[in-house]
Amino acid sequence: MNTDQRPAADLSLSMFSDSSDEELVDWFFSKILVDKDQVVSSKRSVSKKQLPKIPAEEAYSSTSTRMKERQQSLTAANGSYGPYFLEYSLLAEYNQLQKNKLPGVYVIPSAGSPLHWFGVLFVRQGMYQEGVFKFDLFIPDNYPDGECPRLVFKTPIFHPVIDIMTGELDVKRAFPKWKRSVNHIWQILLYARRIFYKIDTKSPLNPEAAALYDNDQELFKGKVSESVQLCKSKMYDVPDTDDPHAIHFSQLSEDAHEKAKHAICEAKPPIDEQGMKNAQSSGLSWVKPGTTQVFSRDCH
Amino acid sequence: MDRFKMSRVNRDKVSVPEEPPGSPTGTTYVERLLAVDIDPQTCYEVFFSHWKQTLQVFNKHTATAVFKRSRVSMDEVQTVVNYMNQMMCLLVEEKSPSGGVIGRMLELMIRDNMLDKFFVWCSKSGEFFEDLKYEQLKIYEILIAQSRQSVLMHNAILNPLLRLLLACSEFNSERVESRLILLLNQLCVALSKDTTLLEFLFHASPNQGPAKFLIFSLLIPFVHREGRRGQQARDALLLCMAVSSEAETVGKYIAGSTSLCPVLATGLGALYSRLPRKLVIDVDHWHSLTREDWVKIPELVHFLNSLEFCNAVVQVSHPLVSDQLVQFFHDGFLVPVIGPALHQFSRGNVDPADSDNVISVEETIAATAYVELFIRSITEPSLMRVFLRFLCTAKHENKFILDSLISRIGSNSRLCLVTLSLFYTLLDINCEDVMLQLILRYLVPCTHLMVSQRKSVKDVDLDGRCASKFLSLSPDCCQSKVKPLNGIDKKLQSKPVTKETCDEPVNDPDLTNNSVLLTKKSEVVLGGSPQFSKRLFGQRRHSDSRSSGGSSSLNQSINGLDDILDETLSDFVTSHNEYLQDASDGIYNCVLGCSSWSAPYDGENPRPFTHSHDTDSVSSSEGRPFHTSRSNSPMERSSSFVRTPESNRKGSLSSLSSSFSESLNRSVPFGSGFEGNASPRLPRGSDPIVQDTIQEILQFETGSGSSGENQVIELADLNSSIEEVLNYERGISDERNSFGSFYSDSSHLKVNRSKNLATDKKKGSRLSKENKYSQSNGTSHADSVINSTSRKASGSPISSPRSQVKRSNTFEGFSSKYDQNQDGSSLSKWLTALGEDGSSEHLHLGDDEKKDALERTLSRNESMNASDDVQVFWNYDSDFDTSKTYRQRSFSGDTSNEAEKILTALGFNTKKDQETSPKTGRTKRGTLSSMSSFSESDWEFDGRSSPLQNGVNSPQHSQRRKLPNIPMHSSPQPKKVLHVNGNLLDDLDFENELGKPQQSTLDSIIPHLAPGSVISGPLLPTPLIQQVMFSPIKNNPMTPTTGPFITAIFNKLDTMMTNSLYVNLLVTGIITRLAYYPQPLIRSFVLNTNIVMQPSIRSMIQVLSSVRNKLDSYASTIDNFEYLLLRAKRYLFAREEQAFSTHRGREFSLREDHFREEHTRKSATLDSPINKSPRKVSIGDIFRRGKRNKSVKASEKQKLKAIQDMEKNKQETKDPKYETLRTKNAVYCAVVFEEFLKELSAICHEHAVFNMEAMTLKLPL
Repeated sequence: MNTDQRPAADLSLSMFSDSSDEELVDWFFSKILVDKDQVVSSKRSVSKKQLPKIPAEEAYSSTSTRMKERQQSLTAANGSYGPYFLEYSLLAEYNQLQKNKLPGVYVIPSAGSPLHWFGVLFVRQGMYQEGVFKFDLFIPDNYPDGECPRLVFKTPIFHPVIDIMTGELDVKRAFPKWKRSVNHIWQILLYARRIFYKIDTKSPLNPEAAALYDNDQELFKGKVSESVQLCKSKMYDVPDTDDPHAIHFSQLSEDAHEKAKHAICEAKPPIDEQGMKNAQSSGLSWVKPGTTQVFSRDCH
Repeated sequence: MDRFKMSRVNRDKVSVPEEPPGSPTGTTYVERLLAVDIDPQTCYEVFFSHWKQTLQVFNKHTATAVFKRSRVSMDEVQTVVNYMNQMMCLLVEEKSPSGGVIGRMLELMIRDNMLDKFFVWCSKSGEFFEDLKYEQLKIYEILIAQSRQSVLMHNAILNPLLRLLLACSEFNSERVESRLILLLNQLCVALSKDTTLLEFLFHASPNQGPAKFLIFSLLIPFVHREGRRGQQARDALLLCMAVSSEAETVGKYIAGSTSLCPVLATGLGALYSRLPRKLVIDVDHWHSLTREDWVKIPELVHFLNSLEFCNAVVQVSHPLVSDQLVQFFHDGFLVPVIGPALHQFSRGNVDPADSDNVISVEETIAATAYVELFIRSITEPSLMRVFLRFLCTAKHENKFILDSLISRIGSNSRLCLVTLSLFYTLLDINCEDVMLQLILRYLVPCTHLMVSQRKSVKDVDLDGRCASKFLSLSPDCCQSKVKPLNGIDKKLQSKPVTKETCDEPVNDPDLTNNSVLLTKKSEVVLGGSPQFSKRLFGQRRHSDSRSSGGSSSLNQSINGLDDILDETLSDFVTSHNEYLQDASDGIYNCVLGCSSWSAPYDGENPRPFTHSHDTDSVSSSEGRPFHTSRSNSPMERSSSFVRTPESNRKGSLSSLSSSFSESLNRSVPFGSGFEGNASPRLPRGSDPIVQDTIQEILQFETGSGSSGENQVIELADLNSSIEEVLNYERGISDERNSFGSFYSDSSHLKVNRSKNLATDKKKGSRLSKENKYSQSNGTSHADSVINSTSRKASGSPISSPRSQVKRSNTFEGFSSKYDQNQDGSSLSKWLTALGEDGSSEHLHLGDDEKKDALERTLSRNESMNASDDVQVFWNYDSDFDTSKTYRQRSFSGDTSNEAEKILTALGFNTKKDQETSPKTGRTKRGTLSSMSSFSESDWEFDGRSSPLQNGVNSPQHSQRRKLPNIPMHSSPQPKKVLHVNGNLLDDLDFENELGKPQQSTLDSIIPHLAPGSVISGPLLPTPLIQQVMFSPIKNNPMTPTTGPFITAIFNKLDTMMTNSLYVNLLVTGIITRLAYYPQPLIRSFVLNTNIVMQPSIRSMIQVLSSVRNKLDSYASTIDNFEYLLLRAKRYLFAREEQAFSTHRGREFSLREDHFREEHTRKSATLDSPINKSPRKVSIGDIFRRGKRNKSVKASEKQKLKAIQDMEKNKQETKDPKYETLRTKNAVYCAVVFEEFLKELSAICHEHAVFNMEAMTLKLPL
């Protein structure tokens, strides 16, 4: 493992932050080949980062009762438009996710169903450093009114809040009750990311891990390292689904990498030159910035 | 040459003398020479010999000139012309030898100064001069256009050319003129090809003559020509200007020394005056000039060409020139021509029955349509700027143009349609300034929101709550009772691709067209939805969903024409995908268009409270000399110093009380409603404290009146002005309370600017109402003097003389102010202003009325939330005539003729009010101010309802439905007082009286009004009252208002059920367009159904709920409503189909046309704005709900008629005329309304998922 070499995956990440479109990342990950040996934690991310907080529920508690009442009438009103509402809720969720740009977390909805998202999580520091954890996110079909979406790691990870048998993350711990329009999917992913940095051993799904963490950190670290290695060894495994969007790792191919990099760096929003000049199609503003005075600015 | 010969009658007699050697005719000889490419030497020899021959002719005349110049003969002319022509043919073929020298022929020509000699000879040719000018022009044209060597830099060529041009500058025959323009055009083309020529052409001047840039000045007279010549001249000018756009000197010269700009601008005015003053377009839905319309009007085509030219000039020319032209456009066209044209109607306002006025209305309609077309035609930002600024900020005869336009939204149908169309166009250009002026300036202060809600402005409807709220408002009458709504399933079944499970492999998700797939188990599988997957990959979706989505429903509708019996409403379900697609496109374009805006308008930037209307106006007066300023009006100026502690306190008070009541109902954290003064923070929902607080607030508000009211009056201080107004308003509401206790909400004061046209009528009705009131009540009220509303615990009818006195005081202030203004238009402005002020909302609750009022507010809010229960607010179906009156109100512009008839027919004594004493007549005026602050729904109610129902004179429908439960107070007066006959005809009297000087009547009114009352404070001197009264009107930043435009549009929306189909399509189209705007302030106002507005602000959802309730309750009275609905839908679908196909075809041919035009006018590289985009967002988009009906075909009309007839037959029991019209409108309204809700819902959805980056990034995959 060569930590001095700038890892390929990280290179791509830095580009993503420039192009600032996480969607690209997903595309990138579904297409590009990542060298196993080079998927390592980033030097850049060593510096302490403050994790954003999951929004406090209290702030919304006052309105929640009212919402609930309304919710019932609304769902009834949707009628045949229900599918649209589901789809648009998920689209909106995904949009939000893109805007939030969670570091090291990438998801893409499956081609088969928007209710099933594939994801991968890169852990860049802490005990789980170098971890590359693939996961599935399952969204209930009555979202956002139903239960909390489920997040299941492909390979079970040794962690107090992850079921060692199924790999399922204890999402309910953070979201005891899924609240429409208060809770969002990006918060789940944020939570999934956080558990690897800030370990909570209360009421664990994996009591052994919790006990070890509390009592024997060294042994815990060893076990963690084992499961990180296990995940990495399984990284190149062919996905168990043939969904085209499933996250698929393969060896780095410089050619493909360069092409993709180029595509991302070159991609620019098209600027309609003609349109900008035309008063009919381009927006007009003669408001002096910082004022609300109409026609206070000249044309030229 | 040939033409020359042909023009001669005696052509045959003229033998061509001295044929060139070896050839029967010169032309063929030369041609042969050229064809075989004979060596240059031969050519030169021929050229030389020709010249010798020609010279002989020339010399013959100069030689004899010593004596007496012999006349040039016809033969000679022909000879010379022949020779010259052949020489030119040879010359243009001459190749310039290498080495930078010029060819021999050209050299000879320059050396011998041939063209100059030719010109001199020609100028002496007397009668042939005109013909020879023509020939010379032709020679130059050949020379310039075809010569292989550049010829124009040679003085020997240029000078005679300029002399010739100068000779042509005076009088020309038509033939010469066309040649001249062609030559000038050639010159300009040559100029554009070789810009170094500019120096020569610009500086070179003929020996005599003034013009510097001769070719330019020569072209100017032709700019407004019709036809090809005009076009050539304009093209040529444009080329000139484009070439000179970099040259400062030329720019200066054009701007300073030529008449181009004034000619252009005044020419527009002249051309405008030739436009038809009335547009004769029979289609009833006509609302804007489409291409089909204006190509039939040659004058308009001509005008548009000139406008397009102006546009192009501004675009290409030197900044000096464009600036000058823009200024002339404003000074010479907009102000003197467009301004008056748009206001022909308003002066005739006084008597709508006047036939002159009808004409002027027609003319105003035409003018509005023209303006709308012009705005659509302009593409150049600076020209657009001046036009928009004119419309937005300029005044005509002391009245803001924008105000009068807005006021017409409430006018009669055709004018309203055209005006709505104009506003749609204004909204559609994504101009920040327009939006700021129309809407945003009222939203930026955030006063329309509850304070606690300001943080919600940016909220996005992520989970589709607002979207589903809109859908849930769909009227019950639109739900099919026969079959369950299964349109979507039906469609899906017909689709080839359906997936059963999500595990099914999908190779290419983009291939599947369905956005939403429902399996038979009705479990939701959203697999392969193109929206989802495509968006994930940052692609804009294909628009194929439109054709695929729409086609199935369309097919159904076509088939359905045959067997209507089998159809149900569910067969006419419009494609939700289409709405989503439209919304997506609309938002995308709008976001793109708004990218240059100065601020995001998200409730934080610009900061709330930084904006006040008057700073706006003051600043806008800076800048250009021709700028018209808002601060001109004395009224506004006087109001500029209104932000005083007192007013602020009052303002916060009102917001305090309103937010208080609001918070009670909505369990919004209460404290946020307070504006930081000494108000107590209350725990939510704790009743006793709440009660106490109400008490406290009320005592604070009214107690300050009761304890210190005299002082308030004595306060000769502007600061008290708001207090003043509030007091008198409260006074009114006091009176109302005393009558029926349902008036406490009458402080929901909404006078609409838009109703300026209708105010006359309102005044009338109010007058009569108040008149009666004062007659019967005046004295009795005066006896019971209780000053404070907060002491009305007894619940007995109490009047407050104080408020009456004040009311009259204040009104006198107003009216005398009015007199001083001596300005008719100020009245309406004043009313408007009052209305705006009136909308500053505050509940005044008596102790025992408190609960009632709260309950009512509650119920009103409920009506938004639990809108499922049908609200019987009033049964206006009981008599059709009232509904007619109702209609009348919205079209009151010039339908009162009809209204009069109806009223007379109904037995309303229209003369009633004239019998009142002069004194009470004056009290009318006294009440005007108060009455005008009632909402218009009061008025409509007055005009329509029975005496008993009149008791509920509240603007909120939900309150109306409460009517039966509310016990009437034992006051003996109410019935009489409230018996209002909706008299529309008092306007005139009223107006006249208003016109009289009011000052002297001040004293006489007060005793009359309240004979026994204690007038405790000294009366204010009138000027003081003026100040006091005018100060708070527009400028209190605390006044919650959404501005006149929104108010007008919402009012129109509110009356949807009685509007015509086309009005509804336009109104909903405008709101839809508004909803595309991504600015959180606009978005939250239009689309956020959860955000809580100030109670005085009508929210979108309130209006929609009200429409829905009206629809449902009306539909329940019509037996066969569903059947009618079905027919209406079928008609609209069929019509859409037809319009769609014809539209497509037309679009195609149009594009071809354009292509051809472009081709032929290759020389002019400029885009023609008009041809290019007749309407970017096609009118079809407005008619999405009715759908893409660009024009109603005759067959469609017949269909419509058939439907009408059918309805008539069905409705024979009731009055045939009005009832069918009403039913028809209601049925169409139901269709439009349902679709509108879907559209709003789709826009909500699309806003939630909108991602500009994803839309614009296109990845090569």
